[in-house]
Amino acid sequence: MQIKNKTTLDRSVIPALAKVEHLNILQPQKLSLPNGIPVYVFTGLQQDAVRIEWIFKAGKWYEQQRLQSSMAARMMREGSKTYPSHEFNDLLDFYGASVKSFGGADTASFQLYSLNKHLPQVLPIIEEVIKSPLFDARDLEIVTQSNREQLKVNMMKPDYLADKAFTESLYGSKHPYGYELELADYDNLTRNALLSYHQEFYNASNCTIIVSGNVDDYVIKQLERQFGSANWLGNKPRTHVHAELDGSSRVSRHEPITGSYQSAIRIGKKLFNKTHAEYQQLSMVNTILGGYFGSRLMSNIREDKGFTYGIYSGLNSMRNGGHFIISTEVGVDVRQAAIDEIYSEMTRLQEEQVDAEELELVKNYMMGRLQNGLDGPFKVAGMYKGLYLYDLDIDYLYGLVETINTITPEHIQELANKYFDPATMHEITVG
Amino acid sequence: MVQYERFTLDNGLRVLVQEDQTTPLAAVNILYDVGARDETPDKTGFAHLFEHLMFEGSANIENFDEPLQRAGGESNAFTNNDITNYYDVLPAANLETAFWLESDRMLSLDINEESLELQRKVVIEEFKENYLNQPYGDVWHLISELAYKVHPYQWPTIGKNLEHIEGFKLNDVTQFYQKFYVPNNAIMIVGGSVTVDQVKSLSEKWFGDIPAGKPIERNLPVEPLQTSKREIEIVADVPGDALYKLYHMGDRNSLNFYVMDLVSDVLAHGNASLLYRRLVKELGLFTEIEAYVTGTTDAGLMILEGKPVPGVDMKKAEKALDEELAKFANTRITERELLKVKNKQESVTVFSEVNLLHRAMNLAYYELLGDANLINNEMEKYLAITERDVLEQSQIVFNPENCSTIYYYADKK
Repeated sequence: MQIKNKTTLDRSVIPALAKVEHLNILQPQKLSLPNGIPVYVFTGLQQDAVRIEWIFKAGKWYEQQRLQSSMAARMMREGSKTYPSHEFNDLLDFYGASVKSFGGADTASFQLYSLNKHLPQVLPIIEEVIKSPLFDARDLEIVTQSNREQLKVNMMKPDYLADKAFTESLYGSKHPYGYELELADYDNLTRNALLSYHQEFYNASNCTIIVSGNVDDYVIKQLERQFGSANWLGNKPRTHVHAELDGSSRVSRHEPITGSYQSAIRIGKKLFNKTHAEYQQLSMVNTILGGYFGSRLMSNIREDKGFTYGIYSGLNSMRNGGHFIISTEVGVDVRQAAIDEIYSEMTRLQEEQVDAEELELVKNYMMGRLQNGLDGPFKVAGMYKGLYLYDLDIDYLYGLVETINTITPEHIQELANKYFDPATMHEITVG
Repeated sequence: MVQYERFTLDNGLRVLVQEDQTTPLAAVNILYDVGARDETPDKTGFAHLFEHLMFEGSANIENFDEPLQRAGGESNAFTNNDITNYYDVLPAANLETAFWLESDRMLSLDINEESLELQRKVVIEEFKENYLNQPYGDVWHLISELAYKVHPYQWPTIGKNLEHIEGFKLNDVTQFYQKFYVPNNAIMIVGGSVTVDQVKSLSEKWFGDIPAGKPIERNLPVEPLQTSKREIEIVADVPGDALYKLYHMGDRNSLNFYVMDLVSDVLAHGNASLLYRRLVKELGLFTEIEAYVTGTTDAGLMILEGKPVPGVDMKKAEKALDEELAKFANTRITERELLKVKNKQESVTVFSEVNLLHRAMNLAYYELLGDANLINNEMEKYLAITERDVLEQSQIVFNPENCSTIYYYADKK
């Protein structure tokens, strides 16, 4: 049923499309502080605001014990000796500045968002907390208590449990890319474990700074003053090696939860990171399968069957590995039907070539997304962060543009056969 | 300073153009002045389900997203109690594609049994995922129902229950569409690498001949003043106890809103906030405490939410919270504390203007509130707040009779 009448304009004529074939990507200015810290600058923002990010190779990969990375990063927001927790947070609030910090798989990072006009007051405070955080025992106790409660909530969610079981299945529960937290992990965490972690990894020799926003010489001068001296040099982290599961053979496991309305499904396998020669091409195959709202998985499992609110697939990249993962939550009664459809979409990619129309759509879509993802200094800086860790630079993105423009249906089918074989997948369902 | 120009088509569609030649992109944001508050109590969740149907194709377009993706763009939408907001971001060179798509679904949506059935299923899964299959997932239902007895904010956007979503008929869809999805009930913002002349001519071309609908009268019942405290107790399979205290406050244009927005920061934004310092750190009664305003167009709520430390009696923790709120409402805030939250607000405003789409969304909502220029001068409203305003408005809100409390207990089994 169409509800209103047609008008005089011929609306069946689709407006002509312009193709985005080239991008002009903002290049970083590369500087070094006197102590050798590399600084990447992305400027040009109209607003008088900056984001400064300090990145340390101090992610889970370097931990001696669980939680060191994420909790050291978290406790950086609880102040230093001169500015203990309350004073630290109060002063930042007073100057309208905000900070975020997190420990990831490979790196830990500390981000400052500030208006340019308040930076001279804010930066000395940040300097102290980065170089010598307090890690007060009472603050640690409070944060730990709150995190434990949050973890208890997560442990009741099928999606959290499925993510945990999935990465454990790929890498092993002792591997830094494999483990997710358990309550007992908090029992063994001490202030000293955080102090020694900070001591070892949060130093100028292990630091990279990315500055974006409205970045003028004055901002750089301030960075030099607070962070450029030799008084916090240290060692680069030694090479860490972790035993990991082979993970190459198929796994299929279901963990029921009584009374659950939905089942969380995770299907995927170990692959490689973004430095691999076929990563960019494979990211296009992934987009077709489950990487955007019009993807085959979404069209089939949500828009045709109505099994789920959403389904996505993605390639996760880490410094020393990577994996492919499909995630969704579906009604418990259609769990098997949804799994069957997921595999049938993989098989279809293997057996049939993508038609020209669909491929063109995906190419245009990816170019548009890339253009959007690089709009303005904050976004380019965010993208760059995902490159420099792999010793890549902006050229990598021009390579992606080239890949998007030139990939063929034959190549896509070949990659689907090589990497998306259902018989090699780890299939974990919870709920 | 965000610059924009405004014009109105003969059919009543308001269009605002926000030029920004520094981006290669364009954003088209269309706000329809309809939300969950426009539903009837026996058919809740419909505005949101309808939002899903808007992507199911229109007279000349089989599927909304496909042509947009082909143009390098992406779209999404959200529904809340007050509005339904749709947006497209795409390369500016393909701006006309968004006009073609958006005008076609405003003119003649294609609705059939199959698409209704399908999106009904999807929304039911959304309901399960976010409201049923999560610890504390039902709390928004409890909050809405307890705080509002008359006003349609008494149900959340997703709807009261699955039965309502299961009961919608095609006829409901048609009526809703004809009443609310008309140009005189919409505000369109076009931002990015565009020009005013270009947007004018595209708007006339694609939206100019869409017939206006009947003017919509909205006579929502006003929530009466709450004169005695309300309480409910819930026992559920959750990992820990939680306490929710709901206070009625002013509408989005009132002085009370601006003051309480700042007050929520004073009380519980971050570790330097008053309640965190006293109740989490010094007294060790809560593991976390939050304060926020719902910010709805009609009179909203100030909500305080706390998780008592395991083993701490909920009523004891609550008593300490009540004492802090009473003390706050009877003590003049320091000049520095007030300046602090204003500075924070300034920073939030500057950072929110960075993103093209955020600017477009903000402009649309401010225009709906009656003054698009709030995007530039709303900060002045915050800056004008005095210590006395904080005292007076807090006393109005933090009155025990104005409070509804949810004691959410973990089932010890």
